[in-house]
Amino acid sequence: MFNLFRNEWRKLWAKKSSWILLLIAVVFAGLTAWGMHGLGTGINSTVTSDSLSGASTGAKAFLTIFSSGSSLVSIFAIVMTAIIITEEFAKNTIKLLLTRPYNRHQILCSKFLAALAYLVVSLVVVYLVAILFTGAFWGFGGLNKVVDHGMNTWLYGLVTIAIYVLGNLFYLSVVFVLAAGMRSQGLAITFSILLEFVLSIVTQLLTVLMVNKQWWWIKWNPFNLMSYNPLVGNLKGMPAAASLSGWGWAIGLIIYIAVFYFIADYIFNRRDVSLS
Amino acid sequence: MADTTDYAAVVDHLSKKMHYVQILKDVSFSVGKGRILGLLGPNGAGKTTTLRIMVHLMRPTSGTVTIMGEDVEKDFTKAIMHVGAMIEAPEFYNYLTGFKNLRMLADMSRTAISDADINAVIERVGLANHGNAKVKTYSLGMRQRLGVAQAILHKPEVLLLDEPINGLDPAGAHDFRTLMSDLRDQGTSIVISSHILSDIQSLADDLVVLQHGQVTYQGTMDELISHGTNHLEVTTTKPDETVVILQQMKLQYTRKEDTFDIAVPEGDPHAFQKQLAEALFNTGIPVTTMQLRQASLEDSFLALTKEKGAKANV
Ligand SMILES: Nc1ncnc2c1ncn2[C@@H]1O[C@H](COP(=O)(O)OP(=O)(O)OP(=O)(O)O)[C@@H](O)[C@H]1O
Ligand SMILES: [Mg+2]
Repeated sequence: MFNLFRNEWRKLWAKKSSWILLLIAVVFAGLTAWGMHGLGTGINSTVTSDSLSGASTGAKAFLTIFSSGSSLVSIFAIVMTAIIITEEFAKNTIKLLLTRPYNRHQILCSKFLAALAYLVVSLVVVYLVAILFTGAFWGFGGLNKVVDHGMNTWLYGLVTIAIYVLGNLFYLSVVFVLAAGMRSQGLAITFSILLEFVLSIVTQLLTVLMVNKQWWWIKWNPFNLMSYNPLVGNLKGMPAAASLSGWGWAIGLIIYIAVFYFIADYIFNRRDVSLS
Repeated sequence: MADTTDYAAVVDHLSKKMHYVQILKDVSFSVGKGRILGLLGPNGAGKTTTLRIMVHLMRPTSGTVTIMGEDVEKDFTKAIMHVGAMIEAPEFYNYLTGFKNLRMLADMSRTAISDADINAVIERVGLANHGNAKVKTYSLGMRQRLGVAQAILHKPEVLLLDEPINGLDPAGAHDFRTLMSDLRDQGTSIVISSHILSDIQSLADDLVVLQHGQVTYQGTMDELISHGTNHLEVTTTKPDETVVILQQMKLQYTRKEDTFDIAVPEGDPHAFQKQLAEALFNTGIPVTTMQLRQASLEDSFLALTKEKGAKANV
């Protein structure tokens, strides 16, 4: 099983697209930093919540840079995840995997782990880049000050990575279903990215519906879970019935991820491989 | 049916329906241990489909496949461990070198395969100088060779090769045959599919002919060879008297002036030749020439599959 994962990992980094997409995210984070510092576009206040109002300029700059880079990472992780599955079908190399002594569950699992690892590595790279730019433009000193929850920026950033990973993993599990079902690279990527945009609209509609009709259970929809950040907490003025806790958020997302993953696994196992 | 552990692979009553089309109908055959089985059939006969089902890339509608005593569907990982396969065109990660492609495949094997082992296989298939080139630079024949390398890499007991000679030049085809007979001598059981009999006639011990998804001939290569109709060409100076003798002996023949083309009845053709020579000699007919023309394998194969194929179509 580890060998399967290692092969996926080798293949992933042997592709130019993995590097190029990561580079774009890094450049974008850099541009954000340069924009804030050089052009004085100001530190984006929507990213840092009210609770961080007391944070140092450096911490706010870091969070802005990090979140701009990681917003691209979440799209690029979707693209690479779709490629990890569909390219094997497009190039017919899937039969090399399926005729070795591993069952299809293990093969899909190794691909999921590779997608997860790409996501984590990309976020860590963007984190480091954000740290570097913050340090270069605003000095490293601010990073050591407490931001919130008793954490300094270094730690706060790492916890944010973990939060983004769980949220993005939900998308990746949806992409897995699409990719296993469609097997077409272009289609899977297009649908996945479309989905990300459509869902953000749907989330807003659902929230309106929840508040107006007082259907508080709507808060458990996966898109609401995704937009929740346990470090930031619930929006001010949100009724208690509509608010989420850290545990509820984590367990809810994990259940959704598991459900989509098992759907993908079922599809992947059931289908004949007869492309030529 | 004999015990499935007596054979390297047993294909038992396979049927496959896809999109309401019956692609395979009740296909059964067994691959003897240490033997080469030729799976022969025209385009679209179902050879690739059969091989795909044998490695579980596809599920059969009904029927089972057993490899080294393990059911492919129920005990996939145990069964597939014994198999090396190249089904349809070989496929690779084109952005990796030939060596790296094999390295990755080796890492998915249940036995440890060292870099030296991989280089030995690369050499064995005649790619010694190309292992470190990216596969996207390979020619068709080189891809075919690397495909064979993929299949034999983990020294499997059972090899399934789909049209492996496709795209090989004569030297390559010769190397391939040598490699296959070496592997057979080492005990490997091999299935080679082809639509050209001559590609596998010198190699195969057994033959299974597929037509329209059905097995229309199954037997050893020797049986096929003996099945063909031989011809005896005889020239005499007394053709009219010869006709009388041939009719007495109830033989099928065609006459062109003083030359007769006689269909040799079943049995030993040389014994028949002697018998006819004696009959003519005893009636005082001088024979100018007498020449036995053994049927080519292609002839007998065509005759055989035509008659059986016609039956299968009814
Ligand atoms: N995915 C599929 N869907 C529907 N029909 C298929 C599919 N794959 C193969 N077939 C049909 O099954 C039949 C057998 O195909 P198969 O590829 O097994 O033939 P083959 O003997 O390998 O032929 P060839 O010598 O051309 O490789 C063909 O008639 C083909 O049209
Ligand atoms: Mg074929």
